[in-house]
Amino acid sequence: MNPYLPARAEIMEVIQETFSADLDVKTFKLRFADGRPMEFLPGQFVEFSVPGMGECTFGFASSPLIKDYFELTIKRTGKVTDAIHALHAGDSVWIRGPFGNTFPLALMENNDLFFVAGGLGLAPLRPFILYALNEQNRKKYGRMQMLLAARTSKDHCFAYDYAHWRSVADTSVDLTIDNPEPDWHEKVGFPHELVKDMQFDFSKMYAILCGPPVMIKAVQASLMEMGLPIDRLYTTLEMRMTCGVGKCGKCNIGKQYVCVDGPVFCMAELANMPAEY
Amino acid sequence: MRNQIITKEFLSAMLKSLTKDYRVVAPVRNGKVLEFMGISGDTEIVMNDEIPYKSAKDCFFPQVEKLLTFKDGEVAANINAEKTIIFGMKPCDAEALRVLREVFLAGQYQDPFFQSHFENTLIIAVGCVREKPGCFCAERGIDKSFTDFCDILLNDEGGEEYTVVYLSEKGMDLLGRFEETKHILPPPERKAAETAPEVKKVELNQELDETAYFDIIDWGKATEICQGCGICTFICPTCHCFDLKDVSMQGATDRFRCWDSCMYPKFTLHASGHNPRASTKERYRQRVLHKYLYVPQNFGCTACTGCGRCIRSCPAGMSIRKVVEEVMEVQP
Repeated sequence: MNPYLPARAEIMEVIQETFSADLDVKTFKLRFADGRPMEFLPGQFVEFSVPGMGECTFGFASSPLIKDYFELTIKRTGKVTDAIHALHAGDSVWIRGPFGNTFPLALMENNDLFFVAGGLGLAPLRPFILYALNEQNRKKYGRMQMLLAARTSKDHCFAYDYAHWRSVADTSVDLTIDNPEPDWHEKVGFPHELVKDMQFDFSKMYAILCGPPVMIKAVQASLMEMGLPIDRLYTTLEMRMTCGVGKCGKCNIGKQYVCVDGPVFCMAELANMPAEY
Repeated sequence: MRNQIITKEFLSAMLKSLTKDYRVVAPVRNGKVLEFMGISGDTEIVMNDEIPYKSAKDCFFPQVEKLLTFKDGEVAANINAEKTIIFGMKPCDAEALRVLREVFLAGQYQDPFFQSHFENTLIIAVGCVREKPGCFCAERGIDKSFTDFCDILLNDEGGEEYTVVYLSEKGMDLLGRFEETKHILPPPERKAAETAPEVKKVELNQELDETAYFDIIDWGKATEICQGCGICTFICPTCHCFDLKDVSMQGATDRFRCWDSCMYPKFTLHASGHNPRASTKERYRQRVLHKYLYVPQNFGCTACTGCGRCIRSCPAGMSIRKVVEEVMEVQP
């Protein structure tokens, strides 16, 4: 197998996720042109090519239980993502993967799950959330809590999911924004402050965090102060990557390569690695 | 040993005759610089004790290599390494290839482009007569006159002749093609003590956690003269970091692999603007620790063979050897 060789995929649908003037996030629903299934696990990622513009790394955002299409949620932020955002349903792109490790789904069974996401940080957590919320899997996990932060009410990704997530038994979704807005009836404030008012059973819970580094660090500090052991905290790292297969050297941190040893790390592991991320 | 000898004149003729069936790469004078270059019948092959400016890394991991071509809704990989013979790799460069083999071929993913070059190449290594300024292969545990990471090994007998041994079946087969060399034998068994004189090795303590090295010396002070030009990574026989670049022309796009460098700010720059290794201090520390700690921890070999190229070429006079020795003085 040539790990650099991508396969052609077709854009089935483009979904606008955010509505602020200065933040443009879209979800691209894709399927392989030759009809092959996409088999992946929550936490994994792909390399996405627009030939001539280049290749970029994106985590899966859709349910791993769906094999005939997959979704990637992408913020317009540079040359390749500008080119991707200019694409429409029916256009062809090139995908290689899946690459990387996965959230420890089995290890976390019979425990409560607490997902904390900041902005686009919800995208790489969504495959795990959708997997755990699936009817067959929901009973494997205890209480599911989600604390989903965004800068403003226009910036929550996957807002169309929340009503369904809230309808599942023993499952809660808390939404928050940075500052009060008229007609906003959910929470206001930063996740690391809000968690202090939430109830948890730290003896049987895992927290999974993804968002801006400053949010991850602050939430980790709050939860650990409240009593959550460090080995019950997980995150997924973002690093500049080129090859995705542990060769090009870019995502190297200590002896680890984020692309093959990650991107999912336990905070206890990260504590023993140089903080070069 | 008499029957283990060939003349330089014969070797030159032999290499030229092999250009019919192989791409033959050898040290050739290119202006003032000695470089590994493809030869033809009238090329003058340099057979002295000089070390070429760049290693022969390009033959396995080219500085620029076309990996893929996208055209008409299809993509194709360009895996078509020519059958190649490299003459003149020094033991330090041959040993460096051991590191590249681990990086590209060990583990979960194999790199088919490197693999194709590696499998189609026969290496004729040549031992060094003396160390050059900046060389420290002995301190890196490498014998300047011997490596088994080659197919044929020559050693200059100080005149017009080389002693010859083969180290692989590929090497034996090649020598078997010529009346003058078909009697050549593999080397007699060597005792480690004979080839490893007592020198203090330049190496880091592999037992230590990597975070222990982050503030072990004042990395800012150790690197304050570094210009961040990256020449050390480009001429290094073990450096292997790369980038992928697309070039579109006439309806087709070629994807090239190009050498990259951990000494450049963009190497780790996130799209968000965040850079985990924001200054030369962090980048040079990464270069040292990757070579002397992370590669050894992952692959059991050190990614520095003491070839001295980075020391000889640094415009600021940086020496990785001195920096590692500074760390060694304070490491537990």
